Amino acid sequence: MDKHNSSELLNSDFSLSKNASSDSLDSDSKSSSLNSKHGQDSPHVLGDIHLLDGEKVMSVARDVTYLCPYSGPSRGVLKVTNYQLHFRPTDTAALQSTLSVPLGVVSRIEKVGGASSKGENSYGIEIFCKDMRNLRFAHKQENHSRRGIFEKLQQLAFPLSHRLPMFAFSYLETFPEDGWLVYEPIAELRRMGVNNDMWRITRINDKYEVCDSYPSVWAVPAAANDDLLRAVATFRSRGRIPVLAWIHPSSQATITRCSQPLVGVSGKRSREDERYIQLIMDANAQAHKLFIMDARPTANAVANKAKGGGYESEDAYQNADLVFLDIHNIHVMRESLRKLKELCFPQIDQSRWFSGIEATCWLKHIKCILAGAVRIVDKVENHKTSVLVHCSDGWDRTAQLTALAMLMLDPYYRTLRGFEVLIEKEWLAFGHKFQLRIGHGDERHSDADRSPVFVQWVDCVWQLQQQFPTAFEFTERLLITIVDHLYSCRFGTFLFNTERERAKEEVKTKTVSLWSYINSRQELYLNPLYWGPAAGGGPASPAARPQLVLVPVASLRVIKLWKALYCRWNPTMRQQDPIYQRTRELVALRAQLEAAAAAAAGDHAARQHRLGLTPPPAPSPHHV
Amino acid sequence: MNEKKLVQNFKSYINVSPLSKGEKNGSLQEIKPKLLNGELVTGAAHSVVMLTPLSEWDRGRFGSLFVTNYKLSFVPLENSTTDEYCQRNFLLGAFDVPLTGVGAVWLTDGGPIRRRRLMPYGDMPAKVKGLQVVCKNMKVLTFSFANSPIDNGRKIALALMHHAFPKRHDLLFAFEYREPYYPTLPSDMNMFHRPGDWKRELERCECPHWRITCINGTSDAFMLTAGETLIVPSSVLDYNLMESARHFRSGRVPIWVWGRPEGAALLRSGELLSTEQSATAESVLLEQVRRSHPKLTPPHVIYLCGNTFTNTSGANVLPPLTTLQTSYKKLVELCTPTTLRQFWNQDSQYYTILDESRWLRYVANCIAFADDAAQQLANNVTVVLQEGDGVDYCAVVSCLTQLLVDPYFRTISGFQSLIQKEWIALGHPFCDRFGLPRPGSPKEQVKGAAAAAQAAPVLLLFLDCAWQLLQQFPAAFQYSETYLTTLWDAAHNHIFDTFLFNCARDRDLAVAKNFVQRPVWDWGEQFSEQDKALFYNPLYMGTKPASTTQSQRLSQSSLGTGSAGPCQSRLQPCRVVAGVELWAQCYERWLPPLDAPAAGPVQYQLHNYHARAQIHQLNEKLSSLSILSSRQSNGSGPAPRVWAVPRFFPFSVSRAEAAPDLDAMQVSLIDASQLLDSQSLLNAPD
Repeated sequence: MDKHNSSELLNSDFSLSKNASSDSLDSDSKSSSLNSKHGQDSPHVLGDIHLLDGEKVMSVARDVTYLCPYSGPSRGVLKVTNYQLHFRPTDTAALQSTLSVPLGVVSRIEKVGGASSKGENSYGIEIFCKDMRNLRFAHKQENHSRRGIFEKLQQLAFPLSHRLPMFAFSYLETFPEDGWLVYEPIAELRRMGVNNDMWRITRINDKYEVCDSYPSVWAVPAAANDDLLRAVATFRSRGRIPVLAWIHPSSQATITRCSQPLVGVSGKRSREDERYIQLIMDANAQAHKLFIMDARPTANAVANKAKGGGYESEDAYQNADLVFLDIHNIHVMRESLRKLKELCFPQIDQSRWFSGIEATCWLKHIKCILAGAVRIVDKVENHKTSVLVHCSDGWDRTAQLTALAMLMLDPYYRTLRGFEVLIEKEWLAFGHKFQLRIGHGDERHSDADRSPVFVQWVDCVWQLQQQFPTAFEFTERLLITIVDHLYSCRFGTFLFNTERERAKEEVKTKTVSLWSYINSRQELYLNPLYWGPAAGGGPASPAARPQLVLVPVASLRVIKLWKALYCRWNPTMRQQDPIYQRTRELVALRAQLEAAAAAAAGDHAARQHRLGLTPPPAPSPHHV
Repeated sequence: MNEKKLVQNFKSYINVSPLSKGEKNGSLQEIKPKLLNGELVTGAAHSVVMLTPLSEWDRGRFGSLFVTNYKLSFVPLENSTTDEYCQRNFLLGAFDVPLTGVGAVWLTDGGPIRRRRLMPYGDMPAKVKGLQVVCKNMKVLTFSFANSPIDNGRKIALALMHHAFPKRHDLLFAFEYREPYYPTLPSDMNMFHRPGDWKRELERCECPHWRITCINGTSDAFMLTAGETLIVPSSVLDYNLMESARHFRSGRVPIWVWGRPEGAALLRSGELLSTEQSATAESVLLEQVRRSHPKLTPPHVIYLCGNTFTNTSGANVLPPLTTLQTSYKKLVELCTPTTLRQFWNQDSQYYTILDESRWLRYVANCIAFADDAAQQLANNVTVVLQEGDGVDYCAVVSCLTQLLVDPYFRTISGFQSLIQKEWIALGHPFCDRFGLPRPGSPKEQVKGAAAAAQAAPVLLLFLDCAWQLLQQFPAAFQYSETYLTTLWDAAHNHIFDTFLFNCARDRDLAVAKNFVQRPVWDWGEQFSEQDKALFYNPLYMGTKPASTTQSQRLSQSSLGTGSAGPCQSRLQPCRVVAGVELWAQCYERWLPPLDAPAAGPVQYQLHNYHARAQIHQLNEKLSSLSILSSRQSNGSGPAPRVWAVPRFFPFSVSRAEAAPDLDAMQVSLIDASQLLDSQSLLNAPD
């Protein structure tokens, strides 16, 4: 461990290295050679702490020791603002132990030891974070020295539990672009060609009265009138009726999403629901079948009948094939990630690394989700058949599957902006309960509703990126930034559970969108290897776009552990990865030469023009 | 989904009606394998079906199977464009395996499931319905003789078992190959054949306190498995060496392999024998080593397999060779499933199996040892590696250490010189490790179990470690992953003499009997320019302009950690198990379910080859514009071509939608330093 001394960590060329204790949040520390003018986040500098617009220091504790699990204890000053916890060692040689942790990532805070505890550094506080790390601080035992900071931390890290506003509502920074405008539901539906003969846009949910967790704008089969929609809503859990997620541009096969039908133990039926499903199938002239992909394991789907839910019986839905995708529920996933944290933090037990990975089952869950999405893609793309996806409520596993399938099917979502649209649409608008699943500002850390469903999906996206390195316009850095700000509460994007709540709290006017921040510093996230439709420059013919549809291999031989996310606090696991940097240099050099060539050619033409020469007709064979 | 995908390119021949079979038999007799000069067919079977890997029963290709004195060769009845797609070898077809590449042969009942292992010189059943050949590079070939004339299966099995496991070294095909050889090795490669070669290395490293001794080439030789030239402390006398050698296994006293101008050196030695004076002998020699350091710093000894003398062993020492071989066998098992069911079964407990093999732990341990050694060298402390006979793990760790500290060895020529030095000149026993017969009279032959106990994939362990370094420092090496994989394949092609002998002495004896040496490094013997272009890493930029030549002195590049960047002098690798990965291209390339178009890290390579090609093109255009002012230049040249190659390109067994334009990639052979002038513009701080 000692070999990673400070000079090495400060080694600028490997600034991509994830060093243990420096600011994680985002990768701001990972400044690359393309450091932009937006790279600097902090307009206000107070002493050594970088404050954001709207951020205030609320409490300061001196003589605190940060017990870094990698570089050992270091003494310094701990500050708490309304946004972050900041620790700076007094010894300038130990600057690698500087910490800047947004309070949003704090899951729980505990006192360690008592006034009478023996042993060095035995008295202090421990902070458990949502981003796979724990922080230990030791205080002096005299005078209850930790009390002030502990109480302040409790209050500021869990504002909701103390009836305080979230930091996102105090954050004042402005960006050149307004990220709230990235997603416009009607425009996105138009992009997919809706309205058309078969699908129409409806504002039946304008006041969120039909379904309070759905967006205000839906696309539904044109043949279904509003009365039918209302009737179907009564038969679907929480009124989440099947609506359009994606439509294939040529075959018109669709992906629709909903919640489970309210079948119950008695096996209730709804004629309206059956008719509505038939209409979804009829809207696709290419197939006489519809696949209903139930994300749950069969046993769970059956068990849900006892709670009034269930699944579509094949008797009632004549032309539908029901498939169970065997993806486990949020509690299983939470447990799996907890085990993964144990494996990765703080020290990696080398002797049981691989068996440990196996035991967490995390990669097996990822495999299940990828395999499920591949099945959806296969039906839609290869069989031109529409697919209806649901789980129990249709906001966790359903969102994972539809968003992943759409990412595989539609290259638009693999661009930076398209990806933002995808998250806004499939996750935020369709009511993935971010507030409940993450527990923003809420001290109830063991709440059973918390679960890393979204992070798991981001992991799946990363798997796709790994498998298809040239298919995405953005790099893993964007994904890590999104995960960081999923917790940070600096932006309004991931606050609250539904579009309705966000509208009520005026999130769009009172907070900043994460996309404002990201889009103002896009170049940090762009993938130099991207060969998207635009790269060829020519018309978007299929030949120029070889990778319209991505079909990943859902095998553990290919699915990898995302060490850059889960193991990033461990300095021995730092990745030395100049691929992007070197590629960027090559690409920049190419651009430079192209410009020079164009300029030289221009000069040339001008000179020849002056001399009255006509250029020879054929280009030199040299260049062909 | 996956099942469907992998078979769609193959026709099914299994269910052909008996009628058409008869017809085909007639034409099948015409099929002949392509033979090399000196190659003879020793067995043939017709109407053989080669089953598509992992396709269960019903997919495959019709053709004929031959055993020659060089290879096992399947010649398909109909050619398909697929065959032309992968890396092409002038000496071997797409479905050929050199006999020394055959690892294990299994008897099957015609299907893909293994039944019984066939042992060399063992019994052969009266009827052979099918054979499965597991190659040393983890390729699996499954043949069914269900449609063949009676006895064909048994005949070919006998021929294969007889020729693939020869009893005498001089039965290997390298002794029969009649093709003349005209060497065209790169001029900056050091073969470490002659004393002058070692002198050059000593001068390159600027180590004045060491001297060359040729005593090992005389009748007083004490280190029989090494070449004639050894480098030892200047202060030590040949007589002392001979005396001390008695106390070291195989006479392996510590010898110099690398050094830095500041004084620290890297040495390798064998273990001490438990004789009475051995401890004294060691300390006397180590004292001489200390005196060869200008600051008289005492050397640091690293015991790779634990210190047997004091009987202490650390937690992370390297295992006995038999354990390494067991580990490798488990790895092979994991990477050679024969049915889809087995493939997915393994998938469900992939990490458990991987863990049980322990292979990646050994890889991580080697890297950790090398990192320790590099750390000592950076602190200007001399390092002595010590292990068994000093020819196995010593070679692995010594090579890795030099890759970490000396940028020259990160070039292709340098890497090849490194292998010549550490593995060939210093006598890694390739015959024993690869399970080949030893040269010499049959009396000396090590029999059966004893021979098997010597087999171990030490070279593969090194190549795997080198691949891990390449993963961690993708811009630091001139060679690519494809180069390393190809090298492993070529190690089992016994036309080349590089990996064919136990020691230099055996090679010299063979040469004296008119054996033609054919170094594997002459890649043009096997591959076209296009395929060779893929050996080059497009991200590599060299250390400094023109620094890749051997004449450059070490002192011109500093060893400190200060100079960062992809070309930094000392690489500090991640050395923990959690930081190493399975070498998918080498081990899993034959598994069709894993192959997918436009997937995998090879896309980085291709993208950058492409960018390089364009940069080269633009550079040419610019110079032509400035020099030939009368020549008109066309707007922007041809539009960039997008390649969609599969994950395991260029080894892929599945066909890609569009084969890449390999010609365009040839430019990557052009020295990278050409680009450096304009490159420096980009590196300048803004």
